[in-house]
Amino acid sequence: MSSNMIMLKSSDGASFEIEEAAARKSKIIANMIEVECVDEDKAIPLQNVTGNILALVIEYCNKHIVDDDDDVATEEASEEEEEAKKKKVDDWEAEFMNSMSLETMFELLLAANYLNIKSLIDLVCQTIANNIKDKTPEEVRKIFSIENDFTPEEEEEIRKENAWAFG
Amino acid sequence: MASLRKRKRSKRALNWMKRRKVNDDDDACEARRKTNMIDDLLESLLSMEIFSKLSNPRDVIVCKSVSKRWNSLISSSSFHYNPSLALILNTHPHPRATNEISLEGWKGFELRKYIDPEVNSPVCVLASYRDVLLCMKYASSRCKTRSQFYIVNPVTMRWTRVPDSENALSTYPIGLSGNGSKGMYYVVMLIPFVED
Repeated sequence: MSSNMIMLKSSDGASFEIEEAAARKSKIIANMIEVECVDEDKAIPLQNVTGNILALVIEYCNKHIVDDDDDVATEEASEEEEEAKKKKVDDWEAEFMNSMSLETMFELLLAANYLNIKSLIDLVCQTIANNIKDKTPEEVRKIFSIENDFTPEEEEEIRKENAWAFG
Repeated sequence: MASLRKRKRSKRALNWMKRRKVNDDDDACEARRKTNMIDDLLESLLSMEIFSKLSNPRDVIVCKSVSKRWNSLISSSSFHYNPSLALILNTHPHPRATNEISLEGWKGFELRKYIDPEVNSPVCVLASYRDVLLCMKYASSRCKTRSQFYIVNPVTMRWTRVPDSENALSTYPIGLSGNGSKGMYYVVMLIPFVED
């Protein structure tokens, strides 16, 4: 595994050094490396990502690149070991997501979308979806600060149509 | 020669990156200005990535009544609910597949509660494909009607009647397939071949 280092620069001017293998988690950056428009001593500017969010993205990428390496090293790992490893990653991801506010989550999601990191998009979206689970419409609006723009009649209509879901 | 080609390629890639940046800039900056609330997320992220990850159809219905935007996103034809509903396997011969048997034990989803009350003859779920169900309304001996088949979308509550077929008998094995995203479904029935 090559240990080339790549520099990333956030929109607010913070620079981050990251292993190429970790940076490749982002399809956009991988693409740039592929077509050789990455200058070795020049940082890649990421205009849509602030430093604090980029730090989270890099933390995620680093964590997952280590896991990929493990896979190669222990090819004959038993099923139990696989299971344990998967649990470790799941636990780490749960902890990672648990540590951030909803607002940070949305910023992270936009960054993951911009950088095209599918597994991170999935992780954040699943966490947001879990926030919706078993809630009432009022609770969902409150969590996400959404204005109820239905008229009382329209709301009643939807409620009637789907009475079973509100039981 | 090879290096020339490479340079050309990277130029194209750069242009593409620039274009992408311009497009994305608008959305991302807009979102940041409004403190990144969920309503500012790109529609594709909201419906394809978040709504489709809800594990219980009930939560999808709840989201429909959160706001007009969410309602229209979930009601649109491009929304496809990911978790397959293929949890129902009808292991009983149809005449014995009562409401109770087919509708019970489907986690979190009590079909009985929303089955059309106007349907006075029993309805049972025969098969499922992705996010729709194949239901059958039993023939009523009193009114001399035939069994009728319906494709039911439990999220949008749409009941579509399957055209009658001469050979269809409710006791034959039946299944549901389709090309989901295009809204086309196939009802497959195994009919015994009888030689003359």
